[in-house]
Amino acid sequence: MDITVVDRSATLGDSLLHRAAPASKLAASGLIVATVVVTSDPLIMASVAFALVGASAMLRLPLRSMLPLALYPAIFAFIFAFAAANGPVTTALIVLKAVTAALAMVMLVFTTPYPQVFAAVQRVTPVIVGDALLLTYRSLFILAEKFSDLSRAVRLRAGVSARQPLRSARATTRALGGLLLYAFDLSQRDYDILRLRGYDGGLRVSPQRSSAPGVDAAAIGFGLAALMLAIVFRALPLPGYSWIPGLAGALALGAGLIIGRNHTTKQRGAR
Amino acid sequence: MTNPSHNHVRCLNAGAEEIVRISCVRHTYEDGTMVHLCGLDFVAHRGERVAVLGPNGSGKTTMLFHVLGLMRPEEGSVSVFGVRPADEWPRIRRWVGVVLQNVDEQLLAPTVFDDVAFSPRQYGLPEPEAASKAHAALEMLDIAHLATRVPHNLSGGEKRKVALAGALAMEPELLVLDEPFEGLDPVSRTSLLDLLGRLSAERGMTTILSTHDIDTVPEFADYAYVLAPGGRIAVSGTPEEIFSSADVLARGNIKPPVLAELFARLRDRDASAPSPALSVPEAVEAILKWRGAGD
Repeated sequence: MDITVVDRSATLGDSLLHRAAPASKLAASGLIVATVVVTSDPLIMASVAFALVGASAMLRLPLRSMLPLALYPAIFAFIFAFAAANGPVTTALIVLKAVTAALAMVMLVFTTPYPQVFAAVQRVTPVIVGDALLLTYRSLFILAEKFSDLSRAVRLRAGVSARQPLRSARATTRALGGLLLYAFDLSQRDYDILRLRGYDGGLRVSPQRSSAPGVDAAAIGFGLAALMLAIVFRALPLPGYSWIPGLAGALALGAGLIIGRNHTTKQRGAR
Repeated sequence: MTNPSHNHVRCLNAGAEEIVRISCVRHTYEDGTMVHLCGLDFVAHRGERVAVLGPNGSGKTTMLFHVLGLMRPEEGSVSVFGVRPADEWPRIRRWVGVVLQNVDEQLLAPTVFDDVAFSPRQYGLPEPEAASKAHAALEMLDIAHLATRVPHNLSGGEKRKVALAGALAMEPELLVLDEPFEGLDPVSRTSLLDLLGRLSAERGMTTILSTHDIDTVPEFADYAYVLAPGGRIAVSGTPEEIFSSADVLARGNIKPPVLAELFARLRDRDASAPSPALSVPEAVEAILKWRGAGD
């Protein structure tokens, strides 16, 4: 996918979640990740995941671009769970945990410009962590574009086609090797450029304030509620009631989709 | 004009403060390629616009990287604002603006405005002042309408202008430009040349520019250095001095600007032809005068 979609959404989006303070969104994401760690109930996990998808639909975030990113870890989680072979419930739990945590992070980066995220992270971590995050994120854009150029060159110059998988794999591997060397070189150049432009560790940004305090409270409240639910269900297993969070999640998703659809229809009507 | 056989005496801007000096610097790359910037000292004075010319691989970028403290000389010396940039870059970096050849790698922030405001914010200016400097730089380059755009979605020429706005935001005393005209359309190139001339005259900003675009040199530069393959500084002089001598051009392995070539050919055919003019208005005047004399 075009990674600049993330930057465009974070920078130019105008949903309610975009207007919330980055610190609140980071806190809410942290609470959801804590929920992922604590819970052992696949229904709670599914509920949180559905609620996040529902909220994204309601806020009209670019779900088409977000979902592939959020589902990406599911492949590795499924392979791991399948290898562990602990039954379908455990498999579902592991996959859902990976997807839910990824979804929370994807929502954060799609609604918050990255300097705001990194500046907030740098306030509570050593400077080197923030530096590493910033350089990694910056390099992703350039490497993604370089890889796309290399793939095109490989296709044109090596005459690669789907009918020749072995030849194709060999050419692609060579291109990836080149990309790896380029990445090493790029990291040095990136650092040089940052230094030339006044960076000496610590990203200074103008802090973005919330223009929708209700959304800040709702995001943190949702995270807290999910975590409390996970803790309660873990401490007091209530098998007879474990369908409740699933139903709540499904209702939230349905409500989100309906509201999102109505909103879009109204906007089209207004045009 | 000077060459290695003459004493290196600059009449231009005589007495002006020396901003950059490079003396016989050597750098060896990891693959064994050696660049030896020797022969003449490279000197740039306050307010001067200096062009660095030379074929591919002659060491133009190596020279600029030494000025920016990105490389440490193995031999020789580099002085910028009187200090060694490789050792004391933090002392001088606020006075130096830079646009590198690959601008894609230079654009750091998610929006054009944030990118131009990056350096003022990193230097700790209060937000209103940082914003005002960013707005002024955007206006100066006539790209205020791009302020909310994502840099990676811009065209090559627009990206170059954004990078230049970022370099100018801190009102530098020294501007270093590596191939700044690449990807710019003719109108943007002319307006950039005008802007650089204005900044040099109004603020006393020193500009060092490396370029392949020979035609821009007469319009831009007060003084030029020609590098030969391997980094030897073969020739230096005003653009008129450099482009009027076929011998000098051959030594530097450079093709003259179109107008210089035109006048050289006219002189080959007719000894009474005027001496080279390097701008179109000057050329028109010279040809009209010559034709009038002929009539």
